[in-house]
Amino acid sequence: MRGPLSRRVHTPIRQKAWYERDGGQRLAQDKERIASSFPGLTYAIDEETHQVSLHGIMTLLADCGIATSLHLRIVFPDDYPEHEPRVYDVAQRFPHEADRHFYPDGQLCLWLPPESRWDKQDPDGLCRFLEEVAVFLDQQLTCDALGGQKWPGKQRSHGDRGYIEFIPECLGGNERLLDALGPTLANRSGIQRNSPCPCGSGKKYKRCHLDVVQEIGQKIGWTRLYALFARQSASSPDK
Amino acid sequence: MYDGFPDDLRALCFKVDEGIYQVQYVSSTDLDELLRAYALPWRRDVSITEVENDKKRFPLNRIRYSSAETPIDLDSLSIYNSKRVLAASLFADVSGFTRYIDAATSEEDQQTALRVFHAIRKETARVIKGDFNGLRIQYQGDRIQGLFHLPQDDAGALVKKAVEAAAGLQASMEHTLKACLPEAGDLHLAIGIDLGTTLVSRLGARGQRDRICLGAAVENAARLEEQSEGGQVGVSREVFSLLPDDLQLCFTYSAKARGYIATHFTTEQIERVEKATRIYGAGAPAFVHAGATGVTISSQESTDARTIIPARPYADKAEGMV
Repeated sequence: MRGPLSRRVHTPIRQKAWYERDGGQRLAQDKERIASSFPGLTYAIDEETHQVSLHGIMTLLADCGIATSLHLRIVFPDDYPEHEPRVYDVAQRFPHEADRHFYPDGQLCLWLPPESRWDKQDPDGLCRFLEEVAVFLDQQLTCDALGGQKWPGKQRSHGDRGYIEFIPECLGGNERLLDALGPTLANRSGIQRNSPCPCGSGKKYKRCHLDVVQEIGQKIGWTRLYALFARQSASSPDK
Repeated sequence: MYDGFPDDLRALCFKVDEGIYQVQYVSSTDLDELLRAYALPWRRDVSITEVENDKKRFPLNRIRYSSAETPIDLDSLSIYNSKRVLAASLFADVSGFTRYIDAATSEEDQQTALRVFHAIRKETARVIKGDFNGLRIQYQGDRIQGLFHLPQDDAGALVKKAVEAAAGLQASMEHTLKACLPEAGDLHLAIGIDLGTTLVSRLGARGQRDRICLGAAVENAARLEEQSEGGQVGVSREVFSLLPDDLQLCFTYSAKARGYIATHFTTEQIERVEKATRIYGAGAPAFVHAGATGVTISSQESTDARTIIPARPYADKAEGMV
């Protein structure tokens, strides 16, 4: 005879989607702020995939009164608000090219990942993020006004070069320091916490540049950082 | 017309292009013969007498012109009271209007076309006179001629004003008129501008005087307008060289037009180019306000705006960039 337990069907316990956690507080909070600051955008939730997105129009107003409507799709990652949403130029209003800081699928390349301005702790973070998006799109319109050839303002180089520009800035633009810490950043020095700091200060590494190296590694991601230095080393074997 | 000519008139013409003929030089003897053959009333001796009389009526010592420190009162001008000023001439033509009129075959379409025509004339004149303190010299069909002569003898300020007026005209056409009259959707303005010494007067019989502008810059502005396409603004080399650096960025040289051309040149574009210098080029903060009507991004601080130093965009080619 089979007991009642034998008839039980084991269904996997579904982890709550981000918008269901804490009684849906974060989504409700975001919705309210979006409704007042970006009323052209509306939420869509796919109940099957649990993907949340914002669709609609962001309107940029020029001082002369001319309004430019831009059709956007903002997709939230599964671990939102841990990571920032992705934004897409749906109507292909701008050329989806690297030099215009777009991926081929229309995703905006807002910033170098370690320079992200996303603040997961900020309850108004989504509106702040969309304001950054608005500035990016305003720069796109300005770029069009300049003939589409010249990016208005500062920008990062593409690919690895963007990171190569970023790392010395973390070291205060000190090229000599970069040369000294390079092997450590590339995980090739085998340095210990109590070893003398490679910068030549005479202090122990843990009391000198350990924190800075840790910060760079955490911002970029250790795997990416090592791969970056490996590619650099392969492309210029003399270094 | 050529097909309707009698053989002796056809013999005076030569073909320039397919369907286009030009009358060749006609000697005085041939002309007199033609006048007699076709019993035309024009007489050489009478015409010569008229010109001689005009010379006596308008002796050179009575024909005067002066400069202008204040806006020229066009109604007060005559052959005895003309103005000679450094001025920016502007011609704006409605590109596509002939095609639009040709396509309007029903009575209702023709009425709509006339309403559009009236609205464009009125709005372009309002922008030139009302928004930029220019002079509306005359309408020529679907074309308007404007003139900017103040501040007096300030070439840089004159071209800036004329170019801003051109941007205002384009913005008005593309945003205001089309919003009110969607049927004007395919119409665009082609604009030409040049700067130079210009004689401004009013000639003709009393009560039927035409406002006229004479000068090389007037002709060149008209030529640049003809060389520009709908939505474009063409300026001469001199106008381009006098523009502020940021405005120059909007123009590219065109060998065909023998001048500099800006496309989609509106007030908004000027604002954006200035913004490129003031905020983005200078690494200055942008003041961003998001609200019910949209997002404004300004270089001017305001209480309800957030301060954002523009980020440095990036593209990761390693992740599938093209």
